[in-house]
Order: sequence, then C-alpha cells, then structure tokens
Amino acid sequence: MSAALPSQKHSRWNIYTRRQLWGLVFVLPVMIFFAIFAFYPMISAFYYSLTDYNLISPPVFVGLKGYERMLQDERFLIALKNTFVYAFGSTLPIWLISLGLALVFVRDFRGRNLVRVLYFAPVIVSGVVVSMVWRVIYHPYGPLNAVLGSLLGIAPTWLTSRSLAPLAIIGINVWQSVGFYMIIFIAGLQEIPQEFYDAAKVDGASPRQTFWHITLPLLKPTSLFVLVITLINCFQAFTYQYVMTKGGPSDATNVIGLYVYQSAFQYLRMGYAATISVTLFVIIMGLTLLQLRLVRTEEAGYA
Amino acid sequence: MSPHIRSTILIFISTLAVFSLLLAACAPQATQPAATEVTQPEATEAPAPSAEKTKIVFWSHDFPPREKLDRQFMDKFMADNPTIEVEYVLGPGDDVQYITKLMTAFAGNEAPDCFNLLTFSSGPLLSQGLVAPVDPSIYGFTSLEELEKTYIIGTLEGFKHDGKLYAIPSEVSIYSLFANKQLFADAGLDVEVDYPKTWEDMVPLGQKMNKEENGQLVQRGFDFTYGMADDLTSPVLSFAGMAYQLGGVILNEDGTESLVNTEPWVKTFQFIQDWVYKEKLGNPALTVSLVGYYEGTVAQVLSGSWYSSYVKEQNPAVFDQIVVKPFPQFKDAVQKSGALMYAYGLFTNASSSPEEQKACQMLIKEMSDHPEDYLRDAGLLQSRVDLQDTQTFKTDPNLPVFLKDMEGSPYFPAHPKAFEMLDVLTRALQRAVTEQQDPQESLDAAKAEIDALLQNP
Amino acid sequence: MLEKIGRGFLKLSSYTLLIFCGLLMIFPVLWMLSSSLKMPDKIFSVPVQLIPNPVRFENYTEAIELAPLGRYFLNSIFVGFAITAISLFFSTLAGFGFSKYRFWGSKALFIAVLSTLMIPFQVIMIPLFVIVRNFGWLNEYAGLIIPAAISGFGVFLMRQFILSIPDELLDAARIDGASEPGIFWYVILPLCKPPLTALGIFTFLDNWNNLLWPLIVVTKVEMRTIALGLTEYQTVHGTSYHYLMAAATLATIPILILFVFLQRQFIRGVLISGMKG
Repeated sequence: MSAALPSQKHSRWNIYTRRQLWGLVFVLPVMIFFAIFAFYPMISAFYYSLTDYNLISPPVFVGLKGYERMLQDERFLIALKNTFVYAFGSTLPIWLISLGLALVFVRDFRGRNLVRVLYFAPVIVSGVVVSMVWRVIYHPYGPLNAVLGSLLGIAPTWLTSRSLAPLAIIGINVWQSVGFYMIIFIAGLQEIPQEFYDAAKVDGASPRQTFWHITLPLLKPTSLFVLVITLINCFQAFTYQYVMTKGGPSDATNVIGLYVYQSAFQYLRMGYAATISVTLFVIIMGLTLLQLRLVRTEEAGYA
Repeated sequence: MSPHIRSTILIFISTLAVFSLLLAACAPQATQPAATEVTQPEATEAPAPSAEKTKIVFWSHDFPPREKLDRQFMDKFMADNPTIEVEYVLGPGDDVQYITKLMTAFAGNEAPDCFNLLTFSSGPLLSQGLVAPVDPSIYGFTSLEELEKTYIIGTLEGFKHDGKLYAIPSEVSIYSLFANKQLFADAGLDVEVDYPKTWEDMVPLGQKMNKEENGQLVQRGFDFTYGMADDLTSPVLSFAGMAYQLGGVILNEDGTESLVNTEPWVKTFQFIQDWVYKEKLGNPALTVSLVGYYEGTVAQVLSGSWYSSYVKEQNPAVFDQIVVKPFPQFKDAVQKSGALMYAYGLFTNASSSPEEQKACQMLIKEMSDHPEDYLRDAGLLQSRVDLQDTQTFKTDPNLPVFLKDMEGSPYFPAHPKAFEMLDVLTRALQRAVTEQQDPQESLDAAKAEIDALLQNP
Repeated sequence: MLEKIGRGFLKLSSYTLLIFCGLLMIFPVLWMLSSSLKMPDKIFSVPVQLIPNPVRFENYTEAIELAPLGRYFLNSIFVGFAITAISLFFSTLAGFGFSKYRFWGSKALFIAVLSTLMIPFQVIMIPLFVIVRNFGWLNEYAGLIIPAAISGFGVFLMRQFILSIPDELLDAARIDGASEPGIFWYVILPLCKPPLTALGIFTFLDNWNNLLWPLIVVTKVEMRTIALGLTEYQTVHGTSYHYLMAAATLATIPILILFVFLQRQFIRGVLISGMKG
C-alpha cells in the first residue's frame, strides 16, 4: 500500500475528481441545448421510422414494416449505392486537395491573401445557385466541353449520362468544398508549435521528412475532423442532386438525402423517410466510430 | 477582445449596414406590400370596435402576376366584409418548396385556413376528409350541380372525391403548342397553314427548322420536355395525353392495375425515342425546350397559358411572335385529346372553426369571381363558362385554343399517390431517351412500380 | 547564380500556376456575376459568353424592386451574428470540456454530440417545428436563431483543436493559481483564434445559405432571410434567372468582404512557444 498518509490520499483524489467535474460543467449547456433541440427531435424521428406518417394526419404505428419495405426497395438500394460512391468519391479528393492548398497558403508570400480568396470564393455561393451555374458549364456546348473538345476531342453529355452525371456532381462538390477545408487545415497547421520545426531543423531533417514525421502526425486531429465531417456531410447531401438533375437520369444521381426529402414531402411518406434516415444514421455512426478508432488522437503522445 | 478583431468587426458591420441600407433605399415599391399589411389593422379599427373579427390565413404559391390580383381582390373582400380579416401568406419558391412548407404546417398544426394547392398533392387531403366540401349556397346556388354548370365540363374533376367538390380552381392548365411565328417565316413557312396537325407532321417541320452549326444543334423546330431539373412542365402530361389519343390509360377501370405498358404507350414512347435517336431532332441534354423557346432557338414547345407572361418577361421579342396551336394528334388516334390536365385549387381547411371556414368559402368565391382579370393579367385560366364571353377571351386568338384542347382531355388521376406515379413515368421516359432503353422494357418496369404503389398505398 | 535563377523560375511558374488554377476555381462565380448582368434570354445561350453584351444593370434594380432585399440582408446578418456568437462561445467551452477533462460518460456524451450531425434535417424538422411553435417562436428571430445556435460541428472542431494545446500550459496556469474557468478564459480562448475564425466563418456561411429551416419557420415577408429571398425569383411557373443571379451576387459580396478582412485573423497572435523545462 502507499506510504502516504490517509488524509493526503483522500484530498488528492478529491481535487482531481473535482477538477474533472468542471469538464462536465463546461459541457452541460451544450448537452441541455441538444437535449431539447436535437435529441428530442431525433427520438421523434426514430419513432416515425416505425410509423406510416403522411404529415397531414397523425402517425400510425406499423412496427418494422418500413424496414422490410426498405430492404426490398430497389430505389433505396440504388440511392444507397450512389451515396457511397458520392461520399467516398468526394472525400478523398477533398481531403488531399484542401491539405495541399493549405500547405501552399499557410506561409506568407506576395499577394497570398488575394490569391487565397480565389480559392475560398466558391464556398460562399449558395448550393442552389452553384448548381444552376454549373449546369451551363456542363452543357454539351458549354465551356467544359469546349476545352475537352479541343484537347481530347470528346464532348460528353454530362448530365444525361448515367455514368457521367454522378462524376459531374462529385466535381462540383469537390470544387465548392476544398476552399473551406483548406481554411480548417491552415488553422490546424498553425497550431503546430514552431519549436517542433526548430528541433527538426537542428536534427537536420529534410523538408519531406519533416512533413511526414512532424507535420502529418501533428495534424491528425485536424485530419480526422476533415475526414469525419466531409463524410458525414456527403452522406446527407442532396442540394446539388436536386437542383442539377433531380436525381436523374432515372435515379442515376439519386442519393439518400434526396430520396428522404422526396419521400417525406412529395410522396408524403414521412414514416418511410424516417426509416431510411435511421438506417443512414446507423451507417454514418458506424463509419464515424470506425474512423475515430483508427485515428486515436486522444492518446497521442504530444497532447 | 483584441483591438484588431474589434476594428475588423466594426468595419465589416458598417460595410454591411451601408450595403443593406442602400439596398433598402433602392426599393421604394418593395415597401408597399409591407404597407398594405400594416394598414390592415388600422383599417379594421375604423368600424365598430365591438365587432369580433374572424381572422383567416390564406396561403398561395409564388407567382407575381397573380399576387397583384390576389391582393386587390382580398382588399375588396375585406372592405365588403369588415368583420373578416385576411392574412395573405405567399410561399416563396416553386411547387416543391411551397408544398414542403404547407405540409410542415399541417404536421405542426399550423395549417392555414384556406390555401391554393396543386391537384397532384391534394389527393391525401381529399381522401382523408381534411378539406371542406364547397358549399354551393355561398355562391347562391341550391345544389352542387348548378355550381358545376358554371364551369366547363370536366374541368372540376381534379377536385372531386366521392361526388363532392372540394375546391374551386384558381387555375386550370393544359399544354398546347406554342409556335414562333418568326422562326416559321424564316424557314419559308406560314405558321397558320403549316403548323403540325399531327405528330407525324412534326417530323418534317423539325427537319426544316433545325439548324446546325459546327456540329452543334443551334436551332430546333420542336422539342419535348424530358423531365430535366430545370424543366417548367412535366413530360408525363404530354406523353400521357398522346397515349390517350391512341387509347392508352394510366389506370384500369377500378384503379387496381396500371396499364402503362400497353401498345398505345409503347408507340408513344417509341415516337419520342425516335425523335431523339432516329430523327435526331431533339435531345434531353440540350437546353430545355421551354428556355430555348424564349431564347428564340426552339420554334415550338408544349406549354400552358401561364407561359406567355413568362416569355414576355424574359424576351419581349419572342413574346410578339407567339402563336398557340392545338396539341397535335396522332394520325391514327382513336380519340381526340390534348395533354392531361392539372389544376390548382382553392381549398378550405376542415379543421378550422365554422366561422373561419365560412369566411374562407366567401373569400374563395370572391377570388374566383374575376376570371377575366386573372386571364388577362396573369394568363391563368379559371375554366368558367362565362369566360368565353369576355372581351379578353374574344380578342385573343390564342386563348380559345387552350379551352378547346381541354375538351375531351382527362385529368391526371386524382390518386393519393399521384406524385409518385408522375415520378415513375418521368423516370421511364428518361430511361428511354438517355439510355435508349427499349420502350416496352421501360414501361414494363414503370407498370410494376405503379402496381406496387396501388397495392401498397 | 544559375541555381538561384532556376529556383526563381520554379517559384514564378508555380505562382503562375497557382493563379491560373485560382482563376479556374473562380470562373463559375464570375459566370454568376456575368449572368447577373445579361439580358434574360442570353443567360443560358451557348457557347458561353463571359462578357455580357449588352450589359443590363436593371437586373439589379428590378430584382430589388420585386423583393425587399435590404430587409432580408439585415435579417440574415442579425441572425447570422447571433448564431455565430452563441456558437463560438459554447462550442469552445464544450470542446474544452471534452478534450481536457476525463469525467465519467464524456466519451458517450461526445459521441452523442456527434450523432446530432448524422441524421438528415428533413426528418427532424417536423418535431423541431412543433417545439419552436410551442415556444411561440414562429416568425420570430428567436425561432431562426436558437434552434441553430449550437452545432455538433462546432463542438467537434473546437475539441480537436484544443486537444493539441499542450497540457503543460494548463498545468502551469493551475500552479499559478488559475481556476478552471479562468484557464478557459485566459489560456484556451486566446489560443483558439484560428479555429474560432474558421468556425465563425463556417457558422455564419451555413446560416447565410440555409433555406429549409427559414422556409418553414417564416411566413411573414419582413422576417425572411436572404436565402428565402432568393427563392422569390423561382415561381411555380418559371424562374427569373437574371434576377436570381443578381440577388445571388449581392448575397455573395458581403461574405467575400468579410473573408478578405478576416484573413488577417489567421495569423496566429502571440505564439506560445519555448516551454521552459
């Protein structure tokens, strides 16, 4: 047993725990807020998933009927597949490009601020307007095809092609997202204390070694954040699909977010929309927990 | 807070404030709608202060030409009925946004007392008794039949359920053929003589008026709509009308099975598919035809009477060239039909109090009493029989075409799942014209989907 | 010498490449601006012309006449600032609590916070609408501000950043006698300028373009936000793209100005370095 006096041990425990409870206090306002404005609606949504609900009459409990229907719903399966393609197809490019841009823009150079605005500007425009603008860009006679035509001699019909339309929309997503995550990465890069770089220089590390062994590992919390958030957002996205193609041609670009919206407010099947949403929730939660586990940041030695 | 942040925020706020004030100052007219809403409470204070006001909330979708008229008649209504106060709420945006808003209001028990709504979305409201039947006595009639007689036959079908009428049309729409006089003349044609009477006529017309430049189709004689995201009309109403000409219906007699994969439908799909792939006269990837029309790059399109005011705003030059002709028929049509009809109607919420419902019905009567104004200023057809005697109707050569097309044309079935069925058929068409799927296959798939909807509502 | 020239050339060509790519990035935004000045029937004409001819400034004046954009701006700004202020403070506080403290259930609570991001808004908006209605917040600023005031995104972001603040800093402050809230105020907050700026921009932007929630909460014209204002140019019988583009351009400019100004905030203030011992 410890040689400490009983009274000392007791007070040490007290101070430590009391301090940790401050954490709870700091977190409490947010939890109360979420309890009212997030958890309660979410629980309602979980309940709706077990009902038939057409919005104009109260929900009618039907148990797991919605889930059975969903498993056999071809449109759902197609939308799910499209959603995965969209999410993973967007996340990797976004992560890579925004990190690259952050590395370029974190250090000062002449005109940096002005040039950086060029990359951030896409983030600001509303998704609806972005989609309308890009529809012209993707027009068979539009500027994109003009360039492709002269370089590669091809001029595809982007938005009416089953295979190309999803790619086209991924392109828009990447275009509009990188500027924002660049900012996040820049902030993350700046959190890295200069002394680590100084120490590396003293040790004679090359830029590449510094990047791989100092920058990247220390950027883990930020990287994780970007990955998790990008994936979560992509899984629920529907604005581009809705405005550009309405999920077409014939469900080629239908994604879960859009299918949920249509089911709820056009087909007046809110119960089914909730069922799909709950399924989506489980998927996203699973993926997120997986990512959190794979990139264990709280136990990283530097913190 | 560091002085740096403080000054930044200060600069930003003042920039935005100046900006907003500039915008606000540039909008003298924009304050008027706010003014009418502000003066309403003042006006109601003038009469006897003891009167209990019946307050009703009226929602309508966004369509600026109709908004002016709506407000005008509401003001008149309130002047004539000082005990009733009407709050007019305009849902901004298109049909989908309006319906989202309206359905959310229903779900949250904040639904309006009376509202304008599309026939495609009103199915569930009708079948669940959530809207009140029209009371003929408000219109001075003793029976529903008398009221119905004042409307062109068949144009009230979209609002009927179980023999009762649940709404008065705020506009009835059918697609007829809009032609561009100038583009016909440029091709050496006279629109009055050479307009297509049959769908088969359309092919040579397309060939004559299509223009190619550098391998790009810069002008089209005609194009369908294909259900693209920025389309203003639904392709289903057109091709369902075409199928109906050949005897094809969407549902069988008792509404238990779908018949969309029968021969008339296949023939129709084949025609449209050939238009894209065989004749190469149109394509879903190009600018949608209703935008092309007002650009002056598409000579003919199918659209409703409300389209004229839109064209006028976008391009007055093309507006001057508008000539409306009847919806073409197939050569071997077994019955004459235009496109399928749809309509917007003015409904009364059955959950409102009796006073509120009565006030609504009276308001609706007032708003449906001026068909000529709505026609002349907003291009909206309220299918009253007496519309045909009005000056506007008689002097405009295009309007009678729409009414004539309505004769014998059915409504899209008023089924609670109408919207989903519309989607199923749109997707079927898209498969046929973007992937060149065999029409029979595409329609078989559509039939299966609709059957599933019918069995599993 | 040659090496210097070589390096200089490399720098110059990558700089040029950077600007070129930047121009490509901004091309669609420029196209939006150009469309806002075009005649209505020329907006979609292909091949695309970047310079409108003729230039139609009336798109702007007429768009403003049709809808009180100034009022919508003020609404969006007010709501945006309120949400951002609330979000920044509480997200940082909670992020601090989650990252630097170990209390029973902290992991679970954090996952719960994250979970709020994982369900599509479309299915929670009805219950949320009912709650807001019951509070009497329909058509009120409270209804626009409060439900959106805190987001799991903010808590997550701040937690990740505060994780990388060395524990030694906190311990040093404790040794100096600081209380836990004191640590938050005097140590953590000042160090969080970069992520706070990023979060502030994100939160403000997210609300600026948010359409679905204001759509159902607002029925009075004077309470509309700018995002709702844009939808006024989309009617059931056709969209007036020229007005829409004009209004959208107007909606974009203030944020761009904000960003240009705030860029200076990204530069880390006093760098806490040199841990002695």
